[in-house]
Amino acid sequence: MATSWRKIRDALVVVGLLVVPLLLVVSFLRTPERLGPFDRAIRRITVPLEAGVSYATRMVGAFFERWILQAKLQEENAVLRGQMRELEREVRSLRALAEENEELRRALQMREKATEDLLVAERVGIEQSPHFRVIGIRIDRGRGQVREDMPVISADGVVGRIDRVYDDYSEVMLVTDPRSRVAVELPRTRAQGILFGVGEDLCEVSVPEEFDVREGDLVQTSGVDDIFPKGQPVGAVTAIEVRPDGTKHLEVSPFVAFDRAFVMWVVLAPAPAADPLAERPPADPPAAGFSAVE
Amino acid sequence: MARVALFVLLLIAGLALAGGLADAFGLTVFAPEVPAILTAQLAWSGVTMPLGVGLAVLAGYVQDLDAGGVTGLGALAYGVGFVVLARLARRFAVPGAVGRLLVCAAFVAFVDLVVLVGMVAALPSVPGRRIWDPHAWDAVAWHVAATALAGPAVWLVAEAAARRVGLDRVTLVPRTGGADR
Repeated sequence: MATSWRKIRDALVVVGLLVVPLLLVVSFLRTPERLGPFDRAIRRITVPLEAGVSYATRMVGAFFERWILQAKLQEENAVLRGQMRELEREVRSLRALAEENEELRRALQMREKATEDLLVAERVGIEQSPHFRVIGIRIDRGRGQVREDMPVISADGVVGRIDRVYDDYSEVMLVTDPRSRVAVELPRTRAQGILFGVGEDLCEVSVPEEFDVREGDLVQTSGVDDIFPKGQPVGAVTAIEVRPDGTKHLEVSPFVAFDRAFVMWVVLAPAPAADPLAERPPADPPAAGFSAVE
Repeated sequence: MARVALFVLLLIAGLALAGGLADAFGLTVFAPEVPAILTAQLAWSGVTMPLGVGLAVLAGYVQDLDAGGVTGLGALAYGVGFVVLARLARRFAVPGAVGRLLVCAAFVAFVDLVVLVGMVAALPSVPGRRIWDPHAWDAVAWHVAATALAGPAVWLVAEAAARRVGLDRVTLVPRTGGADR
C-alpha cells in the first residue's frame, strides 16, 4: 500500500514537473496584449535568469577568447608589429620631409628679405670630429660658381666661408673652425671685436672691459672685414670672463646647428650701398604752361 | 545527493564551457548537447524519477535560457525524454562506452528535433515567409555537423566525471525499477 502510494505521488510529481515547462511554453507564445499576471510573473523571473546564463557564458567565452585564441593573437601581433615598423619608417620619412619643408620655408622667407646677391647651395657632405660634431661642410657649388672666402649663411645665421673650391663642390670653413676670423659686434652695446673659432660648436671674442655685456647678448657680423655682410646673426654670448689685460673674453655659441643645416646661401656680392636720396621726398615738379611773372 | 550536486555542477560548468567555446569561435550551436548528454547519463545513474525529471527540466530550462529559443520547450523535451529514457533503462542494458555514446546521441537528436519543430511551429506567420528555404536547411545542417563534432568531446568529459564519482558502475546494467525508486 505504501509502495503504491509512493508510486502515485511520484507520478503526480513527474506530471507536475512536466506541466511547468508546458505552461512556460504556452505563456511565452502569448502575444503581449494577452499576457496575464501569471505570464508577467514568469517573464519577470525568467529575464534575470536568462541574463545570468548569458553573462556566465560570455565570461567563460571571454576567458577562452584570451586563452585558446592566443596563438591567433600572436600571429596578429606579429603582423601588426610588421605594420607598425613600416608605419614608423614612414613617420620618420615624413618627419624628415617636414623638417626639410620647414627649412626651405624659412630659407625662402630669408631670401626675400636679403639684399645681397645670394647663390643657394645644398649640403652634400660633412666632416665630423671624433666627438661626432660637424666641423666642416661640403656644398654643391664648385668652380665657376663660387670663390674662396665667400661668406656662407643660412636662415639661422652665419655658417662660415668658402675654404676650398673644387670642380663640383666646395668646402666651407665654419665659424667655429680655429682658422676662422669674423668681424662682429654686439648690437645692444655696439662693442666690436674679432670672433675666433675655437673648435666644436664654440667661438670666442674679446671686447673692451667698459662695455656692458650680458649672457644671451646677440653677436652679429659688423661688416668691417669686407667679407661678411653687416648684420648677419652669428650667435649668443654664453659666458663672460674679465681678463687682467682690461678686456672681456666672451664665449659665443653659434645660432646655426651645423648638423641640421641642409640649405644655405653663398654671398656672391654684398648688398649695394644705401641710396642717400631714397628717403628724401621728391621735389615739386614745375607747373607746365605757366611761367613766372617778371 | 552527491549525484545531484555533481549533475548540477557539471551542467553549469559544461554549459558555460561549451557556450564559452562557442562564443570564442563565433558559433551558437555547441551548447545543446551538454545538458542532453548529462541528462542521458543521469537516466542510467539510478536517481529517482521525480528527481531525475526535475533535473532534466532544469537542464532543459537552462538550455532554453542559453539558446534563446521558446522558453519551456527544451525543458519539456528534456523532461519527456528523461521519462522515456529512464523507463528504457529499467529494461535494457547499454553495454560499453560506444553504446552509451549512441544513447546520448539519440537523446540529443530527440531533444534537438523537438526544439526545432517547436520553434518552427512557434514562428509567427508572416506573408511570404518560407520556413524551409535553403538558408534554413543550411542552418540545420551546420547545427547537426557542429553537434556531431563537439558532442563526443562533451560526452568524454561527462564520462570521466561520472567515473570519478562511481556513476559508471550503475550506467552499464539494466535497472530494475531504479528510476522509480
